[in-house]
Amino acid sequence: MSNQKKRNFQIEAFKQRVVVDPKYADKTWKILEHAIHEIYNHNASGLSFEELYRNAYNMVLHKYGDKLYNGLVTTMTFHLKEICKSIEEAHGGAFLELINRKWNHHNKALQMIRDIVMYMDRTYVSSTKKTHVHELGLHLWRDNVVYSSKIQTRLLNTLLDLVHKERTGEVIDRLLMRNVIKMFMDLGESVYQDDFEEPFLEASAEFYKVESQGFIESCDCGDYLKKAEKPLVEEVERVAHYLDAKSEAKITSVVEKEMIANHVQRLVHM
Amino acid sequence: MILDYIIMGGACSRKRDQQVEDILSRGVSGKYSKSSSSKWLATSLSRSGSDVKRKNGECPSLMELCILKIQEDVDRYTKFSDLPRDISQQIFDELVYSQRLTLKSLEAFRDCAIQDLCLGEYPGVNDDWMDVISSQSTSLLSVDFSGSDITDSGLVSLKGCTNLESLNFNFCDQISNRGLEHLSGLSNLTSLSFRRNAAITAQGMHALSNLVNMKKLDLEKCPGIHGGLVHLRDLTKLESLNIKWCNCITDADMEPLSELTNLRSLQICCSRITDIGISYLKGLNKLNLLNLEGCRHVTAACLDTLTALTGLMFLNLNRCNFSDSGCEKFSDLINLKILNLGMNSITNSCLVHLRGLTKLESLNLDSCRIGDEGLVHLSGMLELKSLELSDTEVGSNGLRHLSGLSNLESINLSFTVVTDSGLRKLSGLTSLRTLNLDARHVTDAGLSALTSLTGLTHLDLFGARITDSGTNHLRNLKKLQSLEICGGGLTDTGVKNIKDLSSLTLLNLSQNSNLTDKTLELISGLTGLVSLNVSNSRVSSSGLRHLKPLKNLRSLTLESCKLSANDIRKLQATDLPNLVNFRPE
Amino acid sequence: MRETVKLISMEGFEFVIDREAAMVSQTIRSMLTSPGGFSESKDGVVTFPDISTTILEKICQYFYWSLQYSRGKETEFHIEPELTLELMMAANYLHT
Repeated sequence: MSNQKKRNFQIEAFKQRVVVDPKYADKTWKILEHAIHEIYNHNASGLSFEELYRNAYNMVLHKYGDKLYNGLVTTMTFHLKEICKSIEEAHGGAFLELINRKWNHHNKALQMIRDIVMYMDRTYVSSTKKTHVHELGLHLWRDNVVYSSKIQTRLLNTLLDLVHKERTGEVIDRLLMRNVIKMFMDLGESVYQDDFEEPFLEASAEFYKVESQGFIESCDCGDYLKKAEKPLVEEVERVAHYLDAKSEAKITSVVEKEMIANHVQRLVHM
Repeated sequence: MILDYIIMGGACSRKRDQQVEDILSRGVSGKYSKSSSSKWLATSLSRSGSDVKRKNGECPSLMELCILKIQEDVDRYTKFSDLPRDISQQIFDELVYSQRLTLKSLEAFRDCAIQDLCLGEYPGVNDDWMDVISSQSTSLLSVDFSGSDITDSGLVSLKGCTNLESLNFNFCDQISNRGLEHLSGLSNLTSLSFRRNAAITAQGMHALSNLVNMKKLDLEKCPGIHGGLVHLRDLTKLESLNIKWCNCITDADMEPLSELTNLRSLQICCSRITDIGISYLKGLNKLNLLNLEGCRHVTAACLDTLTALTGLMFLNLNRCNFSDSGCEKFSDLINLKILNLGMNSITNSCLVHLRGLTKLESLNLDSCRIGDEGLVHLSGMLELKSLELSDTEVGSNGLRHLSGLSNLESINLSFTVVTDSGLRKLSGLTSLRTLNLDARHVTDAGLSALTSLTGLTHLDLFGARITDSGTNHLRNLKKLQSLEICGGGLTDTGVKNIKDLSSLTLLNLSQNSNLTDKTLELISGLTGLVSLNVSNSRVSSSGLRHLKPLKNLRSLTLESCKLSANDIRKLQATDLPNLVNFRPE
Repeated sequence: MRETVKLISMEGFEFVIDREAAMVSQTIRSMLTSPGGFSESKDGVVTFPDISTTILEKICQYFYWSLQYSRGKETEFHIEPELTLELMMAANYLHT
C-alpha cells in the first residue's frame, strides 16, 4: 500500500531562477570587477565573500564563464601594469624592496580572487582546459612585471650585484634576497633556471676566473688549494641561505672548474 | 598487468588510449595463466559491486549522497535539465554504474547538455534511446554505444550533435554502410571505433573521407573493409589505426597509408600482407608501435623497411614467418622497448643480432628454436623486465646468462627443460614478481632457490613435480597473489604451508588426487581468494562448509570430486553471494 | 570554549554551529579563512540568500554527520526524496 503511494509520488523539477534581465551578465561582472579593484587597492575589508562567490557562481551556471574568465584576465592585467609602473619609479635599494612587497600583495590578492571564483576554477576552467586561476595569476605577474622591459634586466643586475657585493665581503639583506629569488622559483622551474640561475652561474664563473688568476700568481700550491676551498664553502652556504637547493651541484662545479680544473697543469708543476 | 589492461580497456573516455597496453599485455604476459578464468575474472570484477568505489574510507560528500538517493528511486524524477550540466552528468554516470538507467529514467535527461554518455555494454540500449541522446545536441562530445542494438536509422539523429569528438560502435552488428553515411558530417570526430562489424565494406568507408580531424580509427575484426582504406588517404591527422584480425587486408590496402605520416600506432594482425605491403610504410617516421602478429607472409625481409622507422619502440612479430636469414637488420632497431618474436622459426643465431638492443624492456621468444647458447646475447639487456622463454630448448645451462638482469620482473620458463640446478641462477633476481615454472623437471629441490624471491606475486608450478616437502620453501613468499601447483604430488600436509599466504586471490591445486576436505579446512582463512580450483581430488560435499568464510570467492572449480553442482549452489545461496562461476554446473 | 559561526537562511533563520562543522563545506571554509578581511571571516556570520531554512538545516545536519563519519561512526544519512534536487544545488554551491 505505502509502496504504491510512493511510486505515484513524483519529484518536482527544482526551479532555478531564470535570467531574464539582458544586462544580467554585465551588472554581475561590474560587482566582481569592483571587488577586484578593491582587493588590489587594499580596500577589501568589509566586502561580503558570500555575495561575490554567489555572483561568480551564478555567472558560471548561466554560461557566462567566458565573460568572467576574460574579465578576470583584463582586470588583473590592468592592476599588474599599474604595479609595474610604480616599481619602475623606485630608486636604489627601494627597488628590490618594492618588488618583494608588491609580489606578496599580489599573492594575497590572487588567493582572495581564486577563492571567490573557486566554482569557475572547478568547473568552467577544467572543462575548457584553460589555465587555472592561481597559475594564471603567476603567468600574468611574470609577463607584466618580471618580464617588463624596464624591470627584467634591472632586476637581474640588482641581484647579481648583491651577490658580488657579498662575495667581496659586504653584508647584504639575505632575507630580501631569499624572498625575491623564491619568487623566481614560484614562477616555475624554467623561470628560475633561465632568468636567474643561468646568468648567475655565468657571472660566478667570470668572478672566480679573475679571483683564481690573482691567487695563482701569488701563492704556492698548498696555499692556493686552501684558498680555493673557501669559496666552495661560501657558495654552499649561499645556496642554503637564498637559492634553490638544486643549484648547489651546479655552482660548486663552476667553482671547481674555475678554481682547480682550469689550473691543474700549473698546480702540478708548481 | 593483464588485469589492469582489461579493466582499462573497458572504460570509456574521450582521452584514453589503450593500444600500448594492448601490445604490452599480449607481448608480456599473454601466457601467464593457463586458466582463461583470469580474464573472465577481470571483466566481471570491473562490472561488479557499486560498493567498491565508496569503500575507500573517505566520507561521502553531500553531493554523492544526493546522487545515490536519486539513483535509488530515479523513476520519480522527470527532469534534470534545470541542474548544472556537471551534476546531471554525475547522476547519469551513477545510474549507468549501478545499472539503474532505463529508457524511462533516461527521459529525465532530455536537454541536459551532457557531454559524455558512456553506455558501452549497457543492457537494452537501442534506437528508442536516440531521441534523448541527441537532445544533448551540440554539448555532446562522446558516446560509447558498444554492444548496443542501435541500427542505421538510429544514427540519423546524431547528425545534429556536431561537436561529437568520440564515437564507439564496437560489436554493434546492426550498423552497416548506410549508418556510416549519417556520420559523414561529424567533422569534429577525432576517435571512431567499429570493432567486429561484418557489414561495413569499402563502399561504406567512403563516408570516412570527410572526417579530416580523425586521430584514432579502430576497425578491428571488420572482414569487409578490403579496398576501403583508400578513403583514409586524406585523414592526415590520423595517429592510430587498428585493422587487426580483419583477415582481408592485402598489400594493396597498405598503399593508401603511405602518406599518413602522423601515424604513431598501426595494428595489422592476421592480415594477408607481405613484405611488399610493409614497404609502403617506410615513410611513416613517427610510427612507434607496429603490430604484425599472425601476418604469415611477413618475413625478415621486411626489416629493410622497418629499419627506416627509427622511432619504433613496440614491435610485435609473433607468428610471422621469420627465419634467421635477414635478421641481421634487427641490430639497427636500437630504440625498441618491446619486441615479440614468439612462434617464429628463429634460432640462436638470430639472437646475436639482438644483443645491441639494450633498451628492450620486454622480449618474447615463446616457442622459438632457441637454446642455452643463445641466451648469452641477452645478458647485456639490463633494462629487461619481462622475458618469455616458454616452450623453447632453454635448459639449466642457459639461465646463468640471466643472473645479471636485475630488473627482471617476469620470466616464463614453462615447457622448457630447466631443472632444479638451473633455478639457483635466478635466486638473485629479487625484482621478480611473476615466475612461471610449469616444467616437468622442476621438483622440490628447485624451490629452495626461490626463498630469496620474496617479492613474487605470481608463481606457476602447474606441471612441476612438487610434493609436500617442497611447499616448505613457499612459506616466506607472503606477497603471492596467485599460486598453481598441479603436479599430483601434494597432500593435505603440504597445504599447511600454503594456508598462511594471506595475499592469495587465485589458488589452483587441481590434479592432486590425495587432497581431502582437510585442505578446504586449511585454506578457509584465505579470505582474499577470488578463484579456487581443487578439481580431481577427494574433496567431498561435506567439506564445502569450510569455504563459507571465503566471501570474495567468485569462481570455484571442483570437477571430478565427490559432490554435485547442487551442493555448490546451496553454498552459493547461503554463504557465497559473490560466486558467479562454478563447476560442476 | 568551542568556536561557533552563525549561518543565516533565505528567510532569516539563524543556525549557530561549530566552526569545525561549518568548515566541512569547502566554500564556507574559504569564506572563513580567505585572507584580506572579508566580513564573514571577521564577524563569523554568513548569510545565504539563496538557501531556504529547510535546506540549510539539512546541510547543518550533514556537517555534523560528516564529522562523526570521519571519526569512525559510519551511520546512514537520511535524505527526504523531495529535498534531493534542491539539496544538491546547495551542495554544489557549498562544495560539500
